[in-house]
Parts: sequence; C-alpha cells; structure tokens
Amino acid sequence: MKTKLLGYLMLIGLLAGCSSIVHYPNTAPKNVTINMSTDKTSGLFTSVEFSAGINNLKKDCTTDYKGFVDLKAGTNKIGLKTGVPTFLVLEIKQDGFNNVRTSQQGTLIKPKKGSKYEVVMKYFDSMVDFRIYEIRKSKRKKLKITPITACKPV
Amino acid sequence: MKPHIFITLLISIITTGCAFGPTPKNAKEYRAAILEGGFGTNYESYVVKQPYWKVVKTVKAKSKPCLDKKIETTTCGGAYGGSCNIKTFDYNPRFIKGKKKSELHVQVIMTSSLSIGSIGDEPPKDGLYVAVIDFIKQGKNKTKINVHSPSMGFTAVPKAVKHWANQTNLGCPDFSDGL
Repeated sequence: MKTKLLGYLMLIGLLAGCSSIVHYPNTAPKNVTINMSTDKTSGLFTSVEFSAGINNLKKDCTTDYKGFVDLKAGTNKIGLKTGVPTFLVLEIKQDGFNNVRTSQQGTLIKPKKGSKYEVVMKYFDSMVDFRIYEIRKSKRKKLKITPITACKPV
Repeated sequence: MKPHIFITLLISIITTGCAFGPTPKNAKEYRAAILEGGFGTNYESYVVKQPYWKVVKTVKAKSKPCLDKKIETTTCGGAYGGSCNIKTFDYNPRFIKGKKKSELHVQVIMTSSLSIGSIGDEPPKDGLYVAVIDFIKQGKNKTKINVHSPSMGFTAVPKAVKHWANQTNLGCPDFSDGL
C-alpha cells in the first residue's frame, strides 16, 4: 500500500514539476542543422545544458512559444515550418550551488521552401560564437543575426 | 558586516577607484589610477603577432555588438535574507581609432534594487570605467596591447579582447558566466 501511494505521489510530483516544460514536437521536415561545440561540461555539482527554443512570431511581433529541443555537442537536426517567421533561440543554462545562470543567443528566421539552414554554435572559454547560414542549391550564404527587436508589426 | 553589503562595497571599491582616490572621470585618469597600483587594480601589457590594422579592425567590429549590452543578475535568499537583489550592468563601449594607436574604453552604469547608497563621488555620465585598453602599432606584423582594468570582476572584456586580437576566438563574452 505504502509503495503504491509513494508511486502515485512521485508521479504527481513529476507531472507537476514538468508541466511547464514544453518539448518541441520536431515533426516538420528537418531543414535546420545546429552544429554545436563547447568546452563546457557538467561536473559533480554543476550542470550545463544547451537547448534550442522555437518561437513562432505573430503579426504583432509577440511570440508563440512552441517548445525546446535539447542540444548535444555535434550535429542536431530540427524542423522549422517553411514560411513561418520564427525566433530561434539557443540557450545555455548553467546550474551549480543553487545558482542558475542562463544566456541566450537568438535570431529571426523565416525558413524558405527548398532552403536548408546551418547554425554554428561555439562556446569556448565563456565566449559564444553564433552564426547562421542558408544553404540553397549547394550555395552557402551567411545570414545576418537578426534580433527580435527588428520585427515590425504587420 | 552582512555579506551582501560586503559584496556591494567590494564592487564599488574595485570600480569607483575608492582604493586609489577619487572616481576617474576619463580614460586618462583611469589609466593613471590603475598604474598607481593598489588594491583591485590590474595592468597587463602584451604583444600579439598580428598586424595593427587587423587587430583594430577586429576589435572595432566586435566591440559594439558584443560589448554594448545590458546585463541583469538576480540573487535571491541567502545573504539577501529572503529578498532578491536585481543588479543591472549597462555596458558602454567606445572605440577610438588612430593611425598608430587606438583605444577601447568600456564604462558600466550599475544599478541595484537593494541600494545601500552611493559610495565615492559622482560617476561619469556613461558609467564607471571598467577597462581602458590601448592598441599600439609595433612594426608591420605586431601590435602591443596595454590593458587597464580591475583585478577582480569585469574580466570578460580583457579576455575577449585578447582572443579577438590573437584571432583565437571571435565570439562574444557570455556575461552570465562572469562580468
């Protein structure tokens, strides 16, 4: 009886704790490759997590959060809907000794049909190098990092 | 002394120049204050094997997008007795380009939600100086760099400049990992 009750309590706790966490379904055709490299690693009392947050942009430039994808060092593939203005945010979360620090790098992107995108994220010596390229007909073009403040309401 | 008061005092001492007299009002005064030495000051001089034009081009291009930032930190509980202290650090970089010598000045306007009042005299309009970095042409392929900065805290800018000048890392400092 006690074990069953404990199980229910654990399940409720887990559900409550995870209710605000939204994983991006990532079901659209994979058109974005995020190449991530870092010298940051989790330690005994510290953790480092990298993730990509996907926000669709509404006409008034407010965001509609669609969820996040965990990123690992190396190649990560995500699918963004073509023609939909999106604010793609890469987040670094460092947790240690009850001190959580996050930093974000983001850019506006409106994925085109027939184009693929490559995001290069390098995090070394506490410095972030974040770049985005469009690959179309085997041509690789560097895109400008566009902050969300550049969005103009329609 | 309560820990948060000590931390605030320490930041103020390091950046206002309390340790070496009145608050520096310009880069010249800041350089002089740092070169006097004393608690919390740091002077470093090094030479990079990169031509002056390349160092200046890179640092100038990087300084605005990477350093013109507003950083907010929130610390709750513990030393703050259950309340939260929100500090903002508004970085203001300025690059002055010259033919044989260029300068990067970085000033920071600091505000705290748990203010204990100001220490020292009035800070400059664009904030307290946290780095004055000189780039000096040395022949065709070398550049001398003189860094004037605090020894504790605000190390992100000198570190980034060293990487940019050496072309070893062209990213931007992650200020959440240390100011």
